[in-house]
Amino acid sequence: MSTIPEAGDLAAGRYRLEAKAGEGGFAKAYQAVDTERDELVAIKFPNYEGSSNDADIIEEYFLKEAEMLARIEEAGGHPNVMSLYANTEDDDGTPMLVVEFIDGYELDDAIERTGPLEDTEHVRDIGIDLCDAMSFLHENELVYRDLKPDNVMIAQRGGRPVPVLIDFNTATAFDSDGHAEDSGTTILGPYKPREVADAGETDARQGPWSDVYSIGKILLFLLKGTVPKKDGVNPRDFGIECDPYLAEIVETATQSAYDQRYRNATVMKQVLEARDPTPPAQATLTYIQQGEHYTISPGDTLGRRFAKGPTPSIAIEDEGEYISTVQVQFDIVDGQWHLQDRSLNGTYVQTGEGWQRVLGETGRERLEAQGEDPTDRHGNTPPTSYELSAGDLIALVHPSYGVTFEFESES
Amino acid sequence: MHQDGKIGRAREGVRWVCGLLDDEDYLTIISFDSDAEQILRPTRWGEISRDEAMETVDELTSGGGTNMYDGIEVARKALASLADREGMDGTPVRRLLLLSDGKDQHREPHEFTDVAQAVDNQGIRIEAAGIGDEYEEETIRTLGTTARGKWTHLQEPGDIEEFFGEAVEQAKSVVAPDAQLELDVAPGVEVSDVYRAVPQAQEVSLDWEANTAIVRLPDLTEREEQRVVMKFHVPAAADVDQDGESGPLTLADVTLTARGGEASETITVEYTEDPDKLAEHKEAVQLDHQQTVIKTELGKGNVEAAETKVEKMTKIHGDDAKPVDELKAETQLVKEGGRAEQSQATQIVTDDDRIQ
Repeated sequence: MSTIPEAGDLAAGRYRLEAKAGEGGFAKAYQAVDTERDELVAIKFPNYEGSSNDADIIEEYFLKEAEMLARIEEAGGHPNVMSLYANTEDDDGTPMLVVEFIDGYELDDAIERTGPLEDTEHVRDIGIDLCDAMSFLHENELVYRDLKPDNVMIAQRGGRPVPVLIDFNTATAFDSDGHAEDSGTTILGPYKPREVADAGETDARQGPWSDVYSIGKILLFLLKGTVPKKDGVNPRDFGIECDPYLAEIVETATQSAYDQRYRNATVMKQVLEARDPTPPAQATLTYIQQGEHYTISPGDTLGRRFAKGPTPSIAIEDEGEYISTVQVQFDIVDGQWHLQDRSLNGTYVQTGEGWQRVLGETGRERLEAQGEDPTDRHGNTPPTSYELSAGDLIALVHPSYGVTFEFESES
Repeated sequence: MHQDGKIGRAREGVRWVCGLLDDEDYLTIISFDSDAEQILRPTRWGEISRDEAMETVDELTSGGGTNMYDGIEVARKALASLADREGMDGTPVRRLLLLSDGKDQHREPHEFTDVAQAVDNQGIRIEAAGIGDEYEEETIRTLGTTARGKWTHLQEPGDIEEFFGEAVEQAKSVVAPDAQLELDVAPGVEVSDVYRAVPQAQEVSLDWEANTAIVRLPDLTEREEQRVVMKFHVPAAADVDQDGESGPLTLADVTLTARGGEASETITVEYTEDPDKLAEHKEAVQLDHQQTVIKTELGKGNVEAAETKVEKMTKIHGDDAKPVDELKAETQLVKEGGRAEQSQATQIVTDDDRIQ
C-alpha cells in the first residue's frame, strides 16, 4: 500500500493536485492542473484508506477501470463517456489515472440539490445521451453492467444538462456464456434488471436490453428523485406528471421480461427522439437451413453463441467457430435497412445480381495481415455496410458455409 | 417546516406507495389528529381506480393534536380483519406504515410497547417514521423495534418515498414471516445483551419459555441478510484432562423457525489451558457485538454512553481497528447532528454493501 498524495502535491512530477473531487469504494479523485499543458484534469488514485473494501479488491477494480478506459480511448472515445488522458504512476509507484475533468455533480447529488427535473425535455435529452453512450460501449464489446445515478456526472453543456459516464470499475467484457464476467452478484438494486442480479440462476440472457432497463430507471430517478425496485414502472402511476410518451417509454424499458423491453439502446434512443413509445420498424430474418425466424430491430446484432465477447441480439450455434461473436449489425439509415459487417471473415449479401461481399475494417486488416484475399468478386475493396431490400439473402462467412438468412422488412 | 409542507409530502409518499401496489394487494389509510379516522377501509387495489384512491389521499389534512395510539389501534384492527377475509390465501403479509410529526398528547413513549406488541403478535410489522422536530423519538423507536420493523427520521425530500417504498417492496419479497431464533440453552449457561444488528441495530428483549430463549426476528425476505449478536456466559470447565482441555460443551441448540420451515445449529465451546490456543482471539466477533451496542446507543442519542464504549474499545483493540475508527467518526456525527444522524447510525455496513 502506498502513501496517497494530498491536495497541493505535484503528482507524477506534472499534475498539481487541487481540491478532492470525489471518493468511492475503489478510487478517490482530485481536481488537478496538468502543468505541462496548463489544463484542468482529474486524477484518480486507489482509495486504500477511505474504503471499507480490502486493498487487493480495491487494486483489482482500479486496474479494471484503467483497462476499460484504455479500450474506450482506443475505440475513439465518446462525448458522454469520461476520457482517459494517461494511465501512469505517481513517484512512489501508486497507480493513477489522468482523466477528463467534468465540471458538474454526480447525478444523485445533482438531483438532491435541484430536486427532480421539472423540464421533461431535459429528461429526454439525458436519456438520448445515455442510450448513445451505451450503444457505443456495446459496439466496442463492453458492457457497463452497473448503470446507476452515482456513476453518472451531470455537466452543463450548451445550456442543458449532459450526462457523462464516470465509473468503469465494474464495466467488463462479456464472457463466453454471454454473461458478463464476475456478474454473480445477488444484490438486486433498483437499477439492475433480474437477469443481471440472477446471473447464473436464470436462463435469461444479459444483453443490450439489460442496459435499457437501467436507463429506464434512471429516467424515473430524474423525474422523481427516487426509484423503486419494482419492474414495469409507469411514472404516472407514482403521481409523477410527465408526457404520456415518456411515461410509456419508461414503462416499456423497465419490464421484467427482457423480450418485452426495447431490444437495445439504439431503439430506445430512437423512440425518445421520436417522442413516440412505439418501437421503430422491425424486420425479419429466416435462417434458411434451420427454418427459424427472428425479428430484428435497428441496432440488433447477429453472431455466434457461446463465443467470447459481447452477447449478440441473435445468437446462433456454430461448431466451426468461423462466425464472429458479433458478425453483423442491422440499422436503419435514411429510412433504409442496412447491414454493417463487424466480423473477421466477412458476410455476403445476395441481391439478385450475385453475392456481394461486405467486410468491416477490422476483418479486412486481419485478412490482409494473414495474406488472405480481402476483396470482393470484382477484385474491389468490399463495402463495410450494405443496403438491404426485401428478399435479399445474407450468408455469414461465405455463401457455401451453410448459414444463410433471408431478409424481409415490414415497410 | 411549514405544516402544509409536511402534509403535502405525506400525500406524495402515499401516492408513491400506491404506485408499488399490485391488483391483489390491499390498502387501508388511517389519519389521526385528536381522533383517529379510517379514511380508506381495507380495499383490494384491483377494485379501486387510482383516481378514486388519490381523491382519498387528498382528504389527508393536518389537524390539531396527535392521537397516535388510537391511530395504531384502528390500523391494527383493520389489518387483523384482512386475515379472516374470504378468499385470502393463507395469512397475508401485513405492514403498518406509520408517519407522525407530533407527540401523542395522551401517552408516554413506554405506553406504546403494549400496543406495538399487540400489533406484532398478529404478525403485523410496523415501519415507523418521524418527520419534523416535534415528534417523540422514543415512541417511534419503540414502535419499530417492538413490532420488528425499522424506525427512522425523515428529513430530505424523497425520504418518505424511499423509506416506505422500501418497506412495501420488502413486504412483497417476504419468503418466511414470523421468524424467530429459539436458543435451547444448556444448564448453567446464560444469554445476555442480545441485539439485532442487521437490518437495523436494535436491542432485543428475550422471551423465555423454560430453558428456551426466543429472539424474535423481522420477516425473512429474499436476498436480505439478517444478523443477531449476543453474549454467552458459560460455566467453569469440568472434567479437564491433563492438558487442561475439555469439551466440546454444548452452549445452546439454536433453531431458526419461520412460517414454512426451520433450520438448526449447535453452538459449542471447548476449554483449554494451552497458552497458544488461548492467544487465538476472534476479534471480529467481539467487534461486531460492540459495534452493534454502540450503534444502538447512538440511535437513542446516548452520545455519552457511546463515547465511553468507544473509548473502552480503543483501549482493547487499538486506534487502527477499522470499526473503531468508523465508530469514532459516527459518534462525532451524531454529537454534532440531529435526528437524521441518529437513525442513520443504526445502519451497519454488510459485506454486500462494501463493493460499490
